[in-house]
Amino acid sequence: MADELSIDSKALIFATLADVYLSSGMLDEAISILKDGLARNPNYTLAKIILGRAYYMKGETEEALKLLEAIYPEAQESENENLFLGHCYKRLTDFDKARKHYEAVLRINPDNKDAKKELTTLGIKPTEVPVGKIKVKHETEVPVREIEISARGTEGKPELEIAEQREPPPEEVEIRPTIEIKSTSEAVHIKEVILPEVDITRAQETPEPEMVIQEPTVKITIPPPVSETIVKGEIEIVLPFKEEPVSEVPVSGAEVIQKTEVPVSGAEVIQKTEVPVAEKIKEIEATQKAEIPPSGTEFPVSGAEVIPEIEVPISGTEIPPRGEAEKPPEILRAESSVSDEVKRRIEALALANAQAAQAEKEEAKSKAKPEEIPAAKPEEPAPPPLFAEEMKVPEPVVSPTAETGTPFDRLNIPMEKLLSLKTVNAAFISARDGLLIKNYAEKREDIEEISALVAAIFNEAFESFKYLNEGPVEKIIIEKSRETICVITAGESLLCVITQPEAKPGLIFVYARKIIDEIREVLG
Amino acid sequence: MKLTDITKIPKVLGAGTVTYDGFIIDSQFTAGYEAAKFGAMAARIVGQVKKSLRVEEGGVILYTPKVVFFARAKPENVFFVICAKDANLGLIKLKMDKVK
Repeated sequence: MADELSIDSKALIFATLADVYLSSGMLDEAISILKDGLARNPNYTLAKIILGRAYYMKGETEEALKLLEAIYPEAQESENENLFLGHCYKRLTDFDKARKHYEAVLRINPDNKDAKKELTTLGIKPTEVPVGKIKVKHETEVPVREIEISARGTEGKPELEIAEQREPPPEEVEIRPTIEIKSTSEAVHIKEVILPEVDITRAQETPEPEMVIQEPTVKITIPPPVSETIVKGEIEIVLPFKEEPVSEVPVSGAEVIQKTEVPVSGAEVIQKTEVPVAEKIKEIEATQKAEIPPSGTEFPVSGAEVIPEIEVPISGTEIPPRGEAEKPPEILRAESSVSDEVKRRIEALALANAQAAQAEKEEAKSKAKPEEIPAAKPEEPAPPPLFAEEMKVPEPVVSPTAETGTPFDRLNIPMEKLLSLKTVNAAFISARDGLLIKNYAEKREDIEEISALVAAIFNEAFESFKYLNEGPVEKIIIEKSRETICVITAGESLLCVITQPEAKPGLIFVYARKIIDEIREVLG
Repeated sequence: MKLTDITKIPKVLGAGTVTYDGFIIDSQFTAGYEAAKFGAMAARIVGQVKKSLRVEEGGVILYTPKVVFFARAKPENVFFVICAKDANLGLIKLKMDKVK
């Protein structure tokens, strides 16, 4: 699909594909696709931004800067445009311009962590960047009164204290650090109070005994009631900190947003608390994963015991206590499985084997002296396998021909899997001289002919590449109009798979690999 | 379709068109690879395929430990591409299918 998309660069989706390539580190491919696509869609700004990013990632900073600056007038509100312009200027040590663009990023998206990080490295605290403006909207110009709200938390639930003052309010609204207020004549909304982010990671590395909670003191100017009736208002305060010790914060980096609706006239206080999952969770999880000790390590989990994995003992034995369970499993199995009865049976088997060996020796002697053949003894039946299933005695190595017809029978299972693919029509093994070794499609009558022809083509190609010093041919795909023949070398033989044209050759090769290994073992 | 459309694909070492008797019509190869040799080989192998399997149009893909060789039989000539083993073979194959 990626290939199809890359071919069809008329479609604007090529930019998405290029972005995927960039994420995969395939910079050249991304640049190639983007150039191709932009040749057809020269006004596609997003693609140009991605191309600039690609150049930057490739180290061609000046090329990236040239491209990004060219489209800046039309893309100055783009977060990525400003971010990569900032990166480019930073790399070119033009820190003033870099700072300007990073600040622009934060104006567009105050949560952009890259820009914050870069500004920090440039010696600018991201909180100093004007991330928002205090907006106070009055619909009616009326005298205002002032209330003070202070958040004080116990067990994660802030309490709000509201003090109303009848004094004439100050003209400025003092909010720490950033607040946006919209008020009407009937209600006051404090939309957001954004406090500096607490760096949880650093706090975990150097845990502090107590967390100092910054209590925001908010002075809000609200219009007084026009009439004598008390005006009710709503205040929403968003507090991006959690009032628990940092070390116990379950989700590092998460911002705790507390929305509180405060009726102005001292009515009941409604508190809403939401814990959104911040992007930092992924980073922290990655850090935690990296710190996970290897398997087998016991973790001191309070209130629970870590139970080691114990092999289930064989029936008839008692479950050993925990201390013994840590013995190697082989020892346990040997102790538990060899009962007295089994021992007796083993001894009987050994005795029977010794008798059989003795009989063989005598038979060999009798063959050496045919005139002294004694009366034939009635053949004793072979001793039955004793507890073969229970004891799981390793089976002796038997040659493939002993139990099965031919050595190729071991290829049957992987070959059946291959032939079970819908797009596979037939398969056969052939020698390099064209002679058929094994046919797995007996219904087809032309396999011998194809075998000979494929071998001829293979030998032709083999000799040619040998001449070119490009190494021996390993695989060949021969495409015909109605079917495709995949030929894979397996030592001195060839595995040929005949498929439909729409078959996926990669999949065929994956299936064939197992068969090739088997063929190499059988044929060498 | 131009040869440059294929040769600009990363890790493509060269591409060309050759007649069935092995003479190069057009080619574009990176340094160190001789178009004439690969062209002659393409003509030979594709000729063998056409003769053996009695097909008018078909293709051959050959894998070696170093390179992968594509050859596509056309009525009048043979189009062939050679690339490194880790090139995007699917993309090359798609481009070759578009060659008329």
